[in-house]
Parts: sequence; structure tokens; C-alpha cells
Amino acid sequence: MRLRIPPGWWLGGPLLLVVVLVPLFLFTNTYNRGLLVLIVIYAIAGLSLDYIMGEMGQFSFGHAAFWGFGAYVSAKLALDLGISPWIGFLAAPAAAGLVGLLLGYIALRRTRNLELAIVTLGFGVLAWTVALRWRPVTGGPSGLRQVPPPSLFGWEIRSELAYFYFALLLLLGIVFLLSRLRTSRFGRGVRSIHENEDLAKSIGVAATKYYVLAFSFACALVGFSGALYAHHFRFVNPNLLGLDYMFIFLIVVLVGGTGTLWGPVMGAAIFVLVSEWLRALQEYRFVIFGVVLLLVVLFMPIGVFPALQKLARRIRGRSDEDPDAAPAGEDRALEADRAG
Amino acid sequence: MSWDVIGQQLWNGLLNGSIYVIFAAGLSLVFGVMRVINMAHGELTMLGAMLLFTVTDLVGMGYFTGAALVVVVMALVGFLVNRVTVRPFLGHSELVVILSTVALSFMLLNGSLVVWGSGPKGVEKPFNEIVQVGGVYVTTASVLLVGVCFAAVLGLYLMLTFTKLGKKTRATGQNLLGARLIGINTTAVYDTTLIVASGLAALAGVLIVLVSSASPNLGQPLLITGFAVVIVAGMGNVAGAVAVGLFMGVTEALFGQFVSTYYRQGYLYVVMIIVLLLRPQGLFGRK
Repeated sequence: MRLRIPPGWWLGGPLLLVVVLVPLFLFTNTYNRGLLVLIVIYAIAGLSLDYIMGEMGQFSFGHAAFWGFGAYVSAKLALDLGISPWIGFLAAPAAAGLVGLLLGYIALRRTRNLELAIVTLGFGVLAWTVALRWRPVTGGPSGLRQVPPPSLFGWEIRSELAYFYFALLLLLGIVFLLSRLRTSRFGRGVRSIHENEDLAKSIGVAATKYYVLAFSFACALVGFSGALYAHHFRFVNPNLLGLDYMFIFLIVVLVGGTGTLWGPVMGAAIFVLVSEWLRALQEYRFVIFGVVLLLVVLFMPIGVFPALQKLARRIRGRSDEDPDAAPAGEDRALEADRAG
Repeated sequence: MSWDVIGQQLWNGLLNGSIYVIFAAGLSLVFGVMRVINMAHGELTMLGAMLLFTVTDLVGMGYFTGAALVVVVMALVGFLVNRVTVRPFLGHSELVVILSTVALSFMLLNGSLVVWGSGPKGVEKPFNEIVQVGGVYVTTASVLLVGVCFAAVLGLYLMLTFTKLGKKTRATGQNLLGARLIGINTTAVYDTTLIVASGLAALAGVLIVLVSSASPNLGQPLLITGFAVVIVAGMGNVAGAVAVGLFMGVTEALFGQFVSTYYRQGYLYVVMIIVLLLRPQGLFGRK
């Protein structure tokens, strides 16, 4: 099999180089470097949510609950049982994936689209309530503190820059994994259900089974992102499962662009940096943030990354099918053109 | 356990349930007619409560004048909500509309925090005597709340069932293209739907202050409860939302009294998940 450059790398690749090199020069203090870690963690969470939104064409409002759940699992293992964060990084996605399998099995057999969104919202809020109330296990509203950082042969990865590169490496691996998954038999099966569920069933795709597995996979991935968060910022609390983070992930995906692997990565960077710049506006920043969000959605409903792809293609003067372009982003763009 | 306690909780549940009913009715209306999940519905209620606080406490209006003014103003705001955050996005995926209403709720919530601060604000009630009815303590203000809720819901029902506008609205909800083909101005229907929904949300807001206080943070928990009610009833089913809202309010209060105050809100979601397992289209939804 010929190793093909995954779609989107021609734009994402150079961008990545910038991302790898810029921190050394631009982000010089601890606080700013912490933002970089946050970008990578949000990017992974965004990618996982985009697997549900872009590939499955569905939506889960309970995604942040799995994120927080992953964070709690790993933190709990490390704090109570002294288990190494490295095992936590495996246990968190396993646990989140398992719960995702269960929820997916319950919800996806019966509901789709907006109904699914509301069912998962209910699940998410239930999970948040439990995290808030089950004080002996979750530590109640104040959560758990002093979560240990992962260590490599006795060297604790505490420094922001080290953790950033470590997480970045994982992010790259995940992007690669996702790009392979999309073109795999399973990935194409999931896409076919997205395109037309009845048709997919008629040619023998086990629709519900594929969807449940895909949903569980996305939950596992976001659980992993949560564990990364817990061991870097070294605390967990019920808010991690709440709607605030859900909105953040939604913004990351939709602003970046669904169905494109680099979209959520870019969305995460945009979200973290813009909300940081707006910090100067103090309490007005969330108001302005809402306005900015509305404008972005209004003028770039397909997301920033697909819009850039479109622009780049126009500059290169190639109106025909671009082999490097992410197919999903293009489909979305066409859909939006037709609708508008 | 005594009958007095049960009676008291039944009444308390009826109070909460009335709020849920009027809140969920608007949420369900917007979903049923427009297939839009309005994430800003809770903030519209909050804004209603905060505006009422402003016009009564700072301007010095009476409760009833203030409440009427606020509901009318908020109904007009509903028109803006449609034109600014819903209509421009309808051509795209349903998620884009969710995001635009999330953006709106961001603006409203944080704007309110800037303007009013996060503390609860008491609004002077028009009358507030406590009456004892067979061992159950009832405030007159809360009787007013329940009465207005039922009147509003009845009005909504009559409007949807018997008026020409109501028929147009239902037709649009059933089949958008079909409604357009037979000459219904669906844009106007969408406008009125959000005007009515926003007015109902604000009405919930001005009624809430009769039994508790106004605070910028009251929107989000209400939105979440509202969703639980809407989904148990069946998405877009307004009459179902009324029945379920009352049921949820009463059973939630009993649950809080006899099982656990701690998990009160969790209770609603457990009910929701059980209903979805047994009847995924909701109790009153049609497949």
C-alpha cells in the first residue's frame, strides 16, 4: 500500500511547523505556555467531537461529561491508588469509551440528530450533578487537587513547554490515526450512514453498530484529552463535565470547521488566543466574545479552515476537484452554497 | 410523614411545575415550529426577571405595570432574536443555529452580569400575605403565579387551535415547504413564533420573582430543566410539555422531600432517560 499524504496536510503541515517553532520565541512565560498546552488539549477534544459531528453527522451535548469523566478517572487512580499517570492515560479513554458504548447503545438505537443532542444533554447534566454531589468520591464542588504530573524515568513533566511538546506529539498521532480511520473500511461505513442511513443499511452496513462504535471511539478520545488536562493543570472539578466546556468544544469545532481534521486544531488555537486577547476587556470580554462568535458563524458558517482551503484553491486557480482537499469540508461548502 | 407535609410539597411542586410549564411551552413551540433548539431561551427568562427588577426598583413602576411592559418589550426582543440569531443561519446545518443561539446566550448572560452583578435581586411583590389552607401554607403571590401560568398556557392553546395564525403556525411546523406552497408567509410565522416564545419566557421571568429573586444566573438551570420536560413530553409537543412540566414539578418536590434534596435535579434526568428507553419519541410524541 502506497503511503498517501493525508488530506489537508498541505495547509496543515506548514501551519504545524509554525505551531512547533513559535512557542520558543513568542510564548516566553509560564502562563502563556500553559495556554499552548490548553490549545493542544482542546484540539484533541475538538477532534473527538468532530468525529461525531463531521463523520457521523450527529451531535452530542454530553461530550464534555466524557472529557471530565476521563479527567476524574485518571486523577482518581493516581491520587487514591498511586497508579502512574501513564496507566491513567490508558484507563481514562478505556473507561470513557465503555460508558460511551453504553450511552451510545441506549441513545443511538432510537434517536438521531436534534433528539440525540437533547438526550446526550440530559446525560451530560446528570453526570455533572453526580460529580457535584457525590462528595466522597468526586470531592464535591471543589473537586480533587494535587493530581500528580506524569514522569519519565523519574523526571516529572511539569514544565509547560515539555508538556506542550509531549501533548503536541500525541495530537499529531491522533490526527494521523483519524486520517487513516476516515479512509478505513470502518470510517467509510460510518460516512455512508451519515450520507444516507437507509441506503447504507440496504447495502449491508450495520448502521447502529457502526454508529455506537464510532460514538464510543469519540468518547474514548475525549476522555484521553481530559486525562491530559488533569495531569497538567493538576486538578479536576465538576465544571469540567459542565456546559461551559461543552460550548468551548462546540466553538472549537464549528469555528475551525467540521469534517476537516485541521479545522478543530485551528479552532482550538483561535478560541484560546482570542479569548486571551479579549481578557484585556475584563468583564466585557464574554459579551464581545459572543459578538465575535456570532460574526464568525455569520460570515464563515463552514468554519475558518475550510474557508481558507477554498481561498487557497482559488489563488492556485484550480476550480476542479482538488485531490488534496478534505472531501467533507468541500461537501459542507457546497451544501452551504446551495442553501444560501 | 404527615399529610400536611405532602400537601405542602404538592403545592410547592405545583408552583415549580407552573414555571416549568410556561418555560417549556415556549421552548417546545420554537422547536416544533422551527426545528430550532433555542439555547438562549433561559437567558430570555433571566432578562425578563432582571428588567422587571430594573423598572420596579430603579424606575419605581408598580409590579403589574412593570411586568406588562417587560413582557411586551421582551416579545419585541424575540423578533430581533429571530432576525439576528436564527434566520440568517437557517440555510446551514441545525448545529450552526445552536451555536448562534449559544453566542446570544453568552452575550445576554455576561452582559447582565456586567450590568447587574451576580447577586440576587429581590423585587417587591404586589401582595404577599400567607394563607393557611388545610395545613398548607400558601402565599397570595404564588396563587397569582399559578393562575397567570394557567391563563397563559390556555391562551397559547386557544391561539394555536382556533385562530388563523395558530393554524398557519401548525402548518408551518408540520411541513415548511407545503406551507409555503399554499401561500403561508413562513417568515412571518417564524417571527411570531419567536415573539410568542420570547414573551412566554419573559412571563416566566416576571413570575419567578414572585416566589424567589431575580439573578443573572437563573437562566441556565431553567434551560436544562426545560429540555428535560420537552424531551419527556416529546419534542415540539406543546400540550405534552404542559402535562409533563406539571408532573415533573410535583414529583420533583416529592422526591426532594422524601428521597433526597441533594439529587433533585438529577431526578429529572433519570426520569428522562427512563422515558427515552421505554418510549424514545417521548410520552406524547408520535413516531
